[in-house]
Order: sequence, then C-alpha cells, then structure tokens
Amino acid sequence: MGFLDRDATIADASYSRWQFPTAAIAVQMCIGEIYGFSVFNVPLTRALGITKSLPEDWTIPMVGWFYSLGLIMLGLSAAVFGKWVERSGPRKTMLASMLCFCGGLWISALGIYWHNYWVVLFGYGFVGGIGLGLGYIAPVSTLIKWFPDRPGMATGFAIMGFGGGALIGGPLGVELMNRFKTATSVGVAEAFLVMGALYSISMMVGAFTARVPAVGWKPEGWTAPPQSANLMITQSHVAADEAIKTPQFWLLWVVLCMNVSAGIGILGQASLMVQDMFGATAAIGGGLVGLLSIFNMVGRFFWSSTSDLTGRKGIYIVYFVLGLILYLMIPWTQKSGGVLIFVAVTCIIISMYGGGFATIPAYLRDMFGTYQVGAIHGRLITAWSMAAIIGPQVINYISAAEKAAGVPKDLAYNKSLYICAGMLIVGLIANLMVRPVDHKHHYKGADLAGASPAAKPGAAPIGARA
Amino acid sequence: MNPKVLFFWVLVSLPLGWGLYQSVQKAMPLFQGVNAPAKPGPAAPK
Repeated sequence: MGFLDRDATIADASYSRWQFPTAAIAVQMCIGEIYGFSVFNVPLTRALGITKSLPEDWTIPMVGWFYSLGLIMLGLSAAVFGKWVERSGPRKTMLASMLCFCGGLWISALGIYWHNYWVVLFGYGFVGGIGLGLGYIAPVSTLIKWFPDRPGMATGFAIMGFGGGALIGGPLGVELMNRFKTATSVGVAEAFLVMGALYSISMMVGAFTARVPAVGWKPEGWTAPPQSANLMITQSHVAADEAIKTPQFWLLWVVLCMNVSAGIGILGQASLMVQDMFGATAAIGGGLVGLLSIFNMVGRFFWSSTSDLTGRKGIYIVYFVLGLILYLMIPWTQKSGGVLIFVAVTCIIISMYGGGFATIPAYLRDMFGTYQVGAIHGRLITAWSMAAIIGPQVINYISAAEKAAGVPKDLAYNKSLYICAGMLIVGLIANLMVRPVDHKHHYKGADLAGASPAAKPGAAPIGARA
Repeated sequence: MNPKVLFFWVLVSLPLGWGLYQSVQKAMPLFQGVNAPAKPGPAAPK
C-alpha cells in the first residue's frame, strides 16, 4: 500500500498547486453533510410507524445523539489522530476518512433496517464521527504548505467546502428520501446507502488527486518574509506536544471557543427568533436559515482570505468588536421593527462565525509554524466540541427559561444575546493577549521534512508550478 | 489555467452550485415575506 504513503504523493513539476484545494473541497463537502442531518430527524422517529411515531419508535432526543456523538467524535479523533495525519499525509488520511465516514453511513443504514438504535449510534456517531475528524484536518497542513504566501485563503477553501457540504447534504437527503419512500419505509436507510456511495466517489477523487509539495518547494518568485518583518508570523516550528504547553495554544482555544459558542447559539435559534421577535411565519424562519447557510459558507472563504491582508490577530479583533456591536443591535432591531436589519445583522454574524473556523488554521501556522500544524489544529478543535455544548445552552435554555418565567417572547432572547456579547469580550481579551511563542518551545529536531521552506535556509524552489 | 485544474474546479463547483441553488430557493420566502405587509409583532411590555 505504498502508493498511499506521504512519500508516494510528492508532487512532480507538472502539478499545479491550484489543484490541491479541489481535492480538499471534494472531501470537505462530503463530510459537511453532518450539518444537514436535521432533515433525517423526523423520518427517523417514524421508522416503524411511517406516517406517525409509534411508542416503539425512537424519539427526537434519541435521534439527536447520532448527530451529537458524530460531532464529539470529530473533535476527539482530530485531537487523537492529528500526529498520525501529519505522518501519513493527505491521501492515506482522506481514504481513511472515506472508509470511516461512508462506512458509518452504511452501518447506520443497516441499523435503521434492523431498527437497532445502538448500531445506528455506532455507525453514524462513532465510526462516521472518526471519519469527520480525519477528513476535517486531512488537507489543512498540506494547504498551508502549498500556499505559504496566502495561508488564510488556502484554509478558507477547505473549510468553505465543509460549509458547502451542509448546503448539499440536507437537500440531497430530502431528494433521496422522497425517491425511496414507500408504504413500508421512510427511505432513510436507502438514502444513507446512496449518499455513502456518492460521497465515497467524491472522497476518493479527492484522495487520489491530492499531492504534497516537495521539501523546499515554494511558489515561484516568493520568498519568506524575514522574521523581523512580522513577529506575529513565526519562521520557526513548534511540535504538537509542545504547543499545548504554550499559553498561545490555550488563548487561541478560548478565541475559537468563544467565537463559535456565540455563533452556534444564533445559528440554531435564528428561525425561532425571527418568528418570536417579529411575528414572522415559519416559512420565513426557514428562509432565514437557508440564507444563513449561504453566509456561513461564503464567510469562511471571504474572511479567511481577508486575514492574509489584515493579519490573523487583526481579523479576530474585527470578528469580536463588530460581532459585539451586532449582537447588541439585535434587541434594538426588534424595538424598531427592522426585520431586514435583523436579517442583515444575523447574516454578518454567521459569516464571521464561519470565518472564525476558517481563519484558525492559518493563525496556528503563524504561531507554531507548519511542522505539525495539522495535529495542533486537531487538538484545538476540542474548543468546537466545547462550544457545541455552551452555545445552545446559552441561547436555547436561557431563552426557554425566560419564556417560562413569563418574559414576553419578543424579549426572551435579550439576556442570551447579552451573554453572547460577553463571550465575545472574553474572546477579544484572549486574542489581544496572543504574543509570539517563546523560543524555548521551538522545535530543534532534524526531521522537518515537509515543513515550510523557511525552515531550511537556502532551500531552492523545486517541484511543482505555482 | 491548466485545463486539468479547470476540470477539477468545475467538478467540485457542480455539487456546490446545486447546494447553493437549493439554499437560495429555501431563502426565497424570506424575501417575499419581508416585502409583504408585516404582521404586527408581539407587543412590548410598557
């Protein structure tokens, strides 16, 4: 199986670096399906009753665990397998991701057919979740090495693909369920089988077209800026095990966690908010969710690319300061009856939520170098798992408690929004505290293969075309 | 641009474009709704 190894995937001179982002997107747009999982919620609660839930059918909270375990495993597997991903390279990792993610879909299809809850949980949540984690971090480190001149744009491509996967997964699931629905089946098992087949093709195309740059490769005409030019972009490297001992890692962990927590809360409740605050219909609420998905995807590329111009610290200051203003504006939009302003405000907030995901790998590269940036990114993703718990708690539970306490529906979100604004202040402070990593943490080993050309002074530009 | 690279960009753009189209379709009621005469929102407490 040598053709899967990192060494077998080193690009020759004919390979264009602009091809690698397509390999990354081909994988990410498949695993992003997890964000479209909600379309299966109701059908899975009617797997036996078909037209209505029977007492033996699964409940919504039970079905919710398939999704939740998937996201938990995403964070855990990214953290645990990060160093293996660095060693193995993108091709082997993408294939492992495909086997786990698509295999998870197929196992869960069997579980639905048998109506065995634990088989579905194991397939979709556990096995599929490992596929998510591997696929999510697989291209990051390689993208940064192919685009040392524009790392924010490069990671923006990949993480945008994940956001795009949400746009594809939901409608595709609905189309397939409609096609396979019969008097005896809600069509979910069949949909999972077909989705697994389609996704496996796309992910294999991604895996087999992925190439890593040769050691010492750099874009034509590009030279790494001298260290003195920008202290916030290191030319040194920090190993993953060492990175977690630095304050910078934990500050960035807080930055990501706060940015995502605030965004997740809005994303999950936007439909209900526009209905409660403005008396809008459920169809309009659904429309807002569709629009937010687009901004979530586009924001990933736009903001991350912009960070190449502003610097990573600068762009996170924008996320937090602009976000703070916008969160505080939401109660005002309700008072002034400005539903269009509310829509615009939430769209910008969600674009920065996506931007936060896409910019963080480049921020890690700036702080810790390219040596094990994928593994470090994998460990930082645990902040996402934490945010997935904090965010919904803040918006869902506090607003529900406010309503239960008799606060009018249109005002029930204010406290949650102020707490989100507080989170952004915490994130802003953490971001402002980020300084270059102390020299004592820098990696001094000789095995910097694949690290940036800057790690090897005098390295000649070789290999693929720019 | 290298034709091979262009081919792969088109290949990944097709599903992404389809997903984007689906989301725009889903968002249409929002634009129709906000242009229609608004229902009065819940009254704020005095």
